Amino acid sequence: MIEKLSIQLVKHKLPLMIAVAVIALAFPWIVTSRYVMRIAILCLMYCMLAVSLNLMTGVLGQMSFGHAAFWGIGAYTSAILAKNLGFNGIGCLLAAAVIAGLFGLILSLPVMKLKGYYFTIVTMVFCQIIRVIEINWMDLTNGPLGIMAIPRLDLFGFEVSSQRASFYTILVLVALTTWIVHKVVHSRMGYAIQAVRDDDLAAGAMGINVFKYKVSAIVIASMLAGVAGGFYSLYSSYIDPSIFTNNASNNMLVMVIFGGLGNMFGSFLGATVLTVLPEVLRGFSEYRQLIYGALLVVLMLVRPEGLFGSVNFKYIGQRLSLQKEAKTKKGGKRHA
Amino acid sequence: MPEVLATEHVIQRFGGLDALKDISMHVDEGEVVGVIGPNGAGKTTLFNCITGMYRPTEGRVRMLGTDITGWRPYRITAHGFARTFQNIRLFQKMTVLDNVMVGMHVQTRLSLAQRVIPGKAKKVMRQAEAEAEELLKLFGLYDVRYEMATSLPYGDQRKVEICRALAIHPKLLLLDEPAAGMNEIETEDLMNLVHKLRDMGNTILLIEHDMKFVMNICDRLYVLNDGALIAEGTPEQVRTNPVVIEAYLGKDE
Repeated sequence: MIEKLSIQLVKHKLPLMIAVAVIALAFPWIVTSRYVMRIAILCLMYCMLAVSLNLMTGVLGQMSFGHAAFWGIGAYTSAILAKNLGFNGIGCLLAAAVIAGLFGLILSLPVMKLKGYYFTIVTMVFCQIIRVIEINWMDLTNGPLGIMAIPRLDLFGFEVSSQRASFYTILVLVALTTWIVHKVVHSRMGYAIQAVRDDDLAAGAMGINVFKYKVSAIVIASMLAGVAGGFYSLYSSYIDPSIFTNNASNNMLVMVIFGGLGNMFGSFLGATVLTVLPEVLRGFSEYRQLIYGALLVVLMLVRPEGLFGSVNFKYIGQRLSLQKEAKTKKGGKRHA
Repeated sequence: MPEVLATEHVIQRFGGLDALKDISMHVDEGEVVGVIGPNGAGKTTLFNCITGMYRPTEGRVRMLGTDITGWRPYRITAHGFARTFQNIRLFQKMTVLDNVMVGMHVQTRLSLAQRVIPGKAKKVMRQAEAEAEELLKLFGLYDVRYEMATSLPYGDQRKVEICRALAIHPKLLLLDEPAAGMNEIETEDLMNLVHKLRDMGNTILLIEHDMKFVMNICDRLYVLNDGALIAEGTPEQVRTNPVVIEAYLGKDE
């Protein structure tokens, strides 16, 4: 079923993309509820996090239980810059990216020696270490009290204070993230990263510097998560260490796996479903977690690779073009 | 003919085991050279020393006049060696075409200045794809280019692997037991292919068990036994060499 759906998605790619863009642009004018708008904004932010984590986990193949650490580093960077230095423009988001990227670099340095599960454990511990720093470095992070009254994002003299403006800001960031990840995946670098994922020994024998591409992918993913964090702190105006926990990391990973490893569309779907679902289930109060858990178990039983994990849109497109070619050839012969 | 590869007194020890004992050999441009020997003779170890998977305990490896001893595999590949693996190692989640495209990695490297030119990277990748398709045509794999590489029959997977290695434009192609696990027809097919590659001017070093295959294809042979080089020469010379016969068939009591 998913396979057939995927073929339809590829066939009608352009109109679908236009439709999604139109809906996204019109959304803040249709919906007036502040509550729904807030969920939509957080949902888009989670899309950004899931897509960046998918670059690391799905495309590079390094399972990470620590993505919230980069999100938190980005959030703290921009919060501290905005609050203490009055620096809350676009440079703030860039700084969040750079600092998160630096930590990504530090984390990725041991990856050459550590593979698979061992690396995964390092990411888990990394997230915990960052949280401990956030809690205990009182002078910088204000500890468990968190940072309050963070100024709003200021884009070229225009303060992003309304929900609508925030929505469009994160929409642009999501579009940028998707574009960057798409560019990376469908480039020479993308071939190299995916080769490393499938077989790093063979990748080395192809002249690919395995270390370089592992580090690059992890740094790019952590930078994008840092931007998401930077946006988050300037949007919510309050952060504390209890937000950027291992639990948050796990949620992001569940989004990626739910949507399917390596498939960016899947990550969008995963982030959306898993952000909206808990809100929809709010009415069921105490059964909420139960339903949520049961749904995930069912999905893992029915499609262990995630919804779109076995789907590669590029390959579907190539096969479709081949079929079309064969058809026109046949048609041409008949006419002759 | 200029020398492409030379090993000088290469010794490889694993703990107390001498896997390679003082191996000196060379391959010249345009040659097809075979390395044969019984199981456990150290053929694959020798390959791994040449391609940088192992660092030889002693001795030097030279490529095109450059000392490459201890280089990392990717650097050796970038410098001009390409290899296939005894147990086929294709990229599983990629199509046939994309597997070959990964082989184009070295060819599509851009300098910093070139990277700034808009559209340059895209153009280079498109050219690489066209070349990959040409290569696949040559191997008769063009029609299955969009299939997943691992869904092909065994013989074709081997061809994809060779194709991927050729995409590197290697100065020397190293084939590790290319006929292993193949049936008669597939072996025949592969033999024709290697002949074709040789006529195109490729220099090839191959490890092989299949005697018929080796005798048919190689200009020169090295015979390894128990980590030591016991004979070298043309297939005819090797076939009649009593030391080789003893190593392979045992001594006539």
